[in-house]
Amino acid sequence: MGCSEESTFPGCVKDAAGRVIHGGPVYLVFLSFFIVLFLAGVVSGVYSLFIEGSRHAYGTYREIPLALLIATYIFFVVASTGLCLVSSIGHVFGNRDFLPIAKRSVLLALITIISGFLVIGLEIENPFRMMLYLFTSANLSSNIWWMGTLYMLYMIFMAVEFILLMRESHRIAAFFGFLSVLAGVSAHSNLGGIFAMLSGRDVWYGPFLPVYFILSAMMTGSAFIILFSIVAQKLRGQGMNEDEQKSLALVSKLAMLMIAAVAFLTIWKMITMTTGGETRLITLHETISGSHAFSFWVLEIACGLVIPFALLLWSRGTKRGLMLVASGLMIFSIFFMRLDLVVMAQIVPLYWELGVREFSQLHTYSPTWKEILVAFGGIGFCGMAFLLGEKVFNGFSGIRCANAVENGKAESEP
Amino acid sequence: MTTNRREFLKIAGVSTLSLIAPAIVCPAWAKDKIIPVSNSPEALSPSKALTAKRWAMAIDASKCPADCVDCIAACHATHNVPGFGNPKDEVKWIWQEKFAAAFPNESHAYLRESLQKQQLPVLCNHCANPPCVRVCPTKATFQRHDGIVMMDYHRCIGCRLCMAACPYGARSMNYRDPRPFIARINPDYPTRTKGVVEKCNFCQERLAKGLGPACVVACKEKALVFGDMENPQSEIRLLLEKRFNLLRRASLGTKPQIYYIL
Ligand code: SF4
Ligand code: SF4
Repeated sequence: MGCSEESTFPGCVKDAAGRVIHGGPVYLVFLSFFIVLFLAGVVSGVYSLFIEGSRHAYGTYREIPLALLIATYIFFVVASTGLCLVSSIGHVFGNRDFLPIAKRSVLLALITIISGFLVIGLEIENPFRMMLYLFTSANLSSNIWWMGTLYMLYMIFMAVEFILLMRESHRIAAFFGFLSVLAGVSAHSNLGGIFAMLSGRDVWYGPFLPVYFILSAMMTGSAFIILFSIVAQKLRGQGMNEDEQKSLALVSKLAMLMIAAVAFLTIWKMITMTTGGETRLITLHETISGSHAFSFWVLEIACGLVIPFALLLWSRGTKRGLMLVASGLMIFSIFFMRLDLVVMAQIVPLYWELGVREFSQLHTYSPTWKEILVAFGGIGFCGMAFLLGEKVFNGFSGIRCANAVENGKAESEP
Repeated sequence: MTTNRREFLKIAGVSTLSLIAPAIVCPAWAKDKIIPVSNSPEALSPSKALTAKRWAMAIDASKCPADCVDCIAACHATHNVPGFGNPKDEVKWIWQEKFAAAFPNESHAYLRESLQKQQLPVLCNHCANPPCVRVCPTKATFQRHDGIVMMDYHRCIGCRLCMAACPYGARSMNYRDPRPFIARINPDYPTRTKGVVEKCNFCQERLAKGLGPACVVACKEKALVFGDMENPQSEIRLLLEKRFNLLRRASLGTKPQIYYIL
C-alpha cells in the first residue's frame, strides 16, 4: 500500500506525510489552493444555510427551487457512478486491459461521491434532520429516498472495495466492486427517476433521463480517468508503463463512444421537443436561440461533444496533451450540461397565458457568489483529496498489473 | 469456449443484471398509502369535529366581486402566513390567478375575453394522487384518510423536491425565519421555522373543532363550497351535478379536489 509490507501503520502514515510534504513546490501550491477552495466552500455554505438563510445567500427562489448546487451534486455523483462503471470493466468484469486504471478510478469514485454529499449537505435546508428522518420516517415511494440510501450503500461498498484492492485481494474486491456497480447504477437511475417521474414538469418527464444519466455517467467517468491519470503521471514525473498506456487508449475510445451516444440522445431530445406542446417549445426556443444559446451551443455542444470528440480522434489514444485538453473540456462542459438540465425545466412559469410567447415572462436564474463558492468547495475537496491520495498511495506505483491479472486468473479459475 | 468469448459472456451477463437491478428497486411499486396511524379519523375526531370520506372544494369564481381578497386575508391571518414582501420568497396558501394562467390547456385565443381575464382563487388541490406526497423522502408531506394533504413541519428537511413536483405551484418555502414577518400572530396555529415548506391544509385544525375552512367562512358571496365528495347528498356534490366544472391540469392524473365552476 505504498509502503513496504513490513512497515507498521504509524510508519506508513509518516512515510505518506513525508511524500506529501516533499511533493515539490507546484504540488504544494495546488494542494494549498484546493484546501483553501474547500474551506471557503464549507464556510460559505454553513454561513448561508445557518446564519443568512439560503434565499438571500443563494440564487434559488420560489419558482426555481432547484439550481446550481443540485446541479453540482448531480455532476459529482454522475462522475462517481461513471468512474465506478468504467473501473469495474477491469476488475469486476475481468477485462484485463482496464485493470491498470482500477485503483485510481475507485479512489476517484469515492472522492467524487463524498464531494457530492458535501455539496448536497450544504444545499438542503435541514441536513441534520435529514440524517434522522431518512431512517426513521422513510418514504419508499420517493426516488430521492432510494437515491440517498443506495448512494450511501454504494459509498460503503466502494470504500471496502478500495481497501481490498490496495491489499491486492482481487477476488473479494471484485465482489464488492460488483455490489458497488449494482448500488451505483440503481442509485443513479433513481437520480434520473427523481426528475423523470415529475409529470408536471414536461421537460424532465419520461424515461429519457435515467438512460441519459447512465450514458453520460460513463462519458464523465472516462473523462475523469483520462484527466486524472495524465495529471498523476505528471505528478509522478515518470513515464506511463505500457499497460497504463493501453488502458488509457481504451478509455479514450470508450469516451468517444459515449460522446456519440450522448450526442445522439441530445439530438433526439431536441427533435421530440419540437412537437411536445408549448412548455417544451418555449424551452427549446430559449435553449437554442434565447438567452441560454451560448451555454448550449458553446459550452455544451462545442466544448463537451464536438471538440473533445475531434481531439480524442486525433490523439489516437496516444497523444496525451490532446487527451488532457479533451478530457478537461469535457469535464468543464458536463458541469454546464447538468446546470442547464436542472434549470431549463423550471424557466417556463407554472402559471402563464397561452399564446403569450413573451420571453420576459420566463423565470431567470443566476447563481450568487456564495452559491458558487459552495460549488467550488466541492471541487476543492475533490482536487485536495486526489492530490493527497496520489502521494499517500504513492501514485499507485505498487500496482502489479501483470501479477494482479495472474492472481485474479489464478483465483478465479479452479 | 475461448477466453474472449467467456469474458464477453461474463460481461454481458453481469451488465444485464446490473441494469435490471434499478428496476427491482424502482419505487413505483412501493407506492404506499402513507397514512400515519395517528391520522385515522377516529384518532383525530372529537365528537363535534367535521369529518368526511373525501374533502373537496368547489369554487364559483363568477360570484367573486372584483378586487375581493377576503378569502386570502382570512386564510393568511388564521395560519400565520408571513408577508416577506418579495415575490421571490413569497409564501402563499391561497392567491389569485387569471383563468388563462390557471387553465392554460383549456384556454385559447378566441375564448371570451372576460373569461380569460377572470380572476380565480387558486390553492393546493389536495390531489387524490398527490405527486408531492410521493416524492417527499421523509413523509413530511402526507395524505390523511379524508384526502387532506398535510405537512409535518418538523420532518421537513427542506429539499424542495415537493415544490418541483407540484404541478400547481402550491407550495412555498420559508427561505427565512418567517416569525418577524407575521403581521399578527394567531396563537391557535403554530408558526413555522426557517427551511420548511408550507401550503394550504384545508383548515384541518378548524375542522377538528367543528369549524369550516377560514376562506369558506370569510366569503360573503358563498363562492366557495366545501364538503364530502363521497356523500352524494352533500352540498358540493349536488352543486357539481348541476353546474359545468373543470379540474386544473387533470390530464396529469393527480386527481385534484378543487372543482372550478364555470
Ligand atoms: S396541489 Fe400540489 S401541493 Fe397540493 S396536493 Fe396537489 S401536488 Fe400536492
Ligand atoms: S421540502 Fe420538506 S415537504 Fe418538501 S419534499 Fe422535501 S422534506 Fe418533503
